[in-house]
Amino acid sequence: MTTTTMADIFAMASKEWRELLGQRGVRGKAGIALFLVAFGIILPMQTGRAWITSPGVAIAWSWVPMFLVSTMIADAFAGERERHTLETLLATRLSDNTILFGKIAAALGYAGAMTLASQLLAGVAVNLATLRNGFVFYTPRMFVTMCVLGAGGSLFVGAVGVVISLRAATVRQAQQALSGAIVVLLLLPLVVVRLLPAEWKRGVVERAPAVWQLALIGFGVLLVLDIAAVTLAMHRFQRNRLIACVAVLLLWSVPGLAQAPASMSSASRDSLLSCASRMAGSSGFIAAPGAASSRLGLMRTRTTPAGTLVDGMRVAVASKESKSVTPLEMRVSTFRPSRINPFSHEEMASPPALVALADSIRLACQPRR
Amino acid sequence: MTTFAIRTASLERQFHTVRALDDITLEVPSGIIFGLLGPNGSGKTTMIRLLLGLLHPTAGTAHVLGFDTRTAAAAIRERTGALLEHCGLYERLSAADNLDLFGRFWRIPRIERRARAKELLAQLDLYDRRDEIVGSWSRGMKQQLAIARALFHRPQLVFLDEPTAGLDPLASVMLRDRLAHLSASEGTTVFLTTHNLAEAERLCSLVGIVNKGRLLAVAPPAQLGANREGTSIEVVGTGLTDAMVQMVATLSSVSSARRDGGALTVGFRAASATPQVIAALVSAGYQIETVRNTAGSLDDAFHMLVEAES
Repeated sequence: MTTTTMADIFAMASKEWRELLGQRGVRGKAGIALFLVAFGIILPMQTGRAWITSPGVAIAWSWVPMFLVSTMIADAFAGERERHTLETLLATRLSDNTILFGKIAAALGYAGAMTLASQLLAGVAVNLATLRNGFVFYTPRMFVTMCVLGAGGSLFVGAVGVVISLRAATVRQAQQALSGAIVVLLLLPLVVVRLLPAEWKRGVVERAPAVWQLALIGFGVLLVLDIAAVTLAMHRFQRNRLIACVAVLLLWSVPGLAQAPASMSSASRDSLLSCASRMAGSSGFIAAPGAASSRLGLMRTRTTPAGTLVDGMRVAVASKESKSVTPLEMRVSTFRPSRINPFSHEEMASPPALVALADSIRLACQPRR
Repeated sequence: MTTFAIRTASLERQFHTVRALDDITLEVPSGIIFGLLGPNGSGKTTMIRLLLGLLHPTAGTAHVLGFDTRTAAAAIRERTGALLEHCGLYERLSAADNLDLFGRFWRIPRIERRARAKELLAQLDLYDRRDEIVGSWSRGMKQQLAIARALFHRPQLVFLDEPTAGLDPLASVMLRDRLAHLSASEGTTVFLTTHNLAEAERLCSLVGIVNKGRLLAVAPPAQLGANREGTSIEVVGTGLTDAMVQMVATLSSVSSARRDGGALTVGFRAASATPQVIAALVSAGYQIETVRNTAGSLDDAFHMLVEAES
């Protein structure tokens, strides 16, 4: 990897960090402070010197950076798509891999810095609390174990998070999917152990490796998982694929070109709609109450609650009267029905308002004669 | 010898059953302002995406600045700037940070980045607001900043997708002047898409009209307007209804009638039947303020071409 590529990755990562700090404001900074207080002062002081000296604690807490990565990486592409900045980013001279690794590096850097700061703070806190017993600090072996396991797990979550974020229509969707994946990942070993026959369990306990050996095995497994996850992320992240899916939906919603729902086979239509709804964060479907969504080819497509409409979003609407999805080229900002405020969550949540919105859209998109 | 910034041959892009671009053969000389005009969904944005190498063509070839969009897209993006459908600004960052970020992406040294940001923001009269978060700005201000970002690294070719959308008339004029200056003094090629035909007529030395993915005509705006047969008028007034538009469209000498806000544009088949149309409108209750002959204009040519295609 050349120096210039590294500089590009750093430029990409520093953009993510600046955005993160800009996004969080005072409340976010308070959250960071709370994290440092909890993991750097309160928990270590409760645990005592074992926090620093016990290898088990070090291994157990190596999941912390993984969770920190998951909070940031979900936003990587779903956020860019939601904020309409993805296409502009893809139009820059940065290569696919630079963007991808810049995003992952940003999440890893954030998680690493937070974890390191909390662990160093913990070292100080534990020593202050147990000053009479002499000074203790992480041994080099323990420190390296924490760093290696933390980094390995974080890289895995980062790469998986990128794949999820690439597919998710919204940041919230990406966060939910990633949280679910992490919970499964953490619970899976426990479930497997529970299901093992009692004799096997006894055998495992008798021949149990030392904690450090366990860490080494864990690192080996993580390394394999990391390579697989990063390869998958590199394979999945392709400009052409990202843009094509957005373009499909936009074209499909243009009058005159919008013959797709009627003329396509149902399998192609489902595939197209499903693909478009996954990829096109700037687009959405609204289904009025009573709309026969399965007949409209929307069965497999996530319908967007009207309350999530945002300025600039393109919409296709299905009303209960229509037998097909009304094709239209319409941005939310181009219509403002007088009866309702399309940007207000409260009013949009009620079915009558939704019907009114659907009616307004249908009226607005009728071809002019 | 003319060098071409953009050359496409039988370019085609299909999305499943929809043909977004169909057999586009186009040559855009270097250093000019080229305008691609067309109704919504005609393929303008897809064209820009293909030329930037963000999408691959289904058939045909495209060369931008001498590079094949299929095999050398990175080289194209290195030398071009783009304002796409959305302004694409990072709204949690300040204006200065947005420009600085893209300067870093193009590996411009820090001192040069600062000087360039100052120069561009001062031109836009936004320098005093450089540290404000962009999210709090008006749409027009964001659009201006996005255009500045597209020009920040002094690209050889700049793609602007509806650049004057959201700009007030004064800012639109300023942008037009800036683009004209850019093209004349720095030899930058500008490829813009617009719905604003008057703007294209004033600014572009060459325009292409595209509809349903097909390139209908490419010519200088004046030539395109002059080549049209028939005449048309624009009638402005108050009280225009859809029924009136329909009534005019059914007149035998009228080839087309369309409503554009409060104005009505009427195209005639051959000889002008203006008095007949005016009389019909007045008797229907339309309060006419002005009648303007629009024959020979780009607007006229555009509508005739698009309607003929439809």
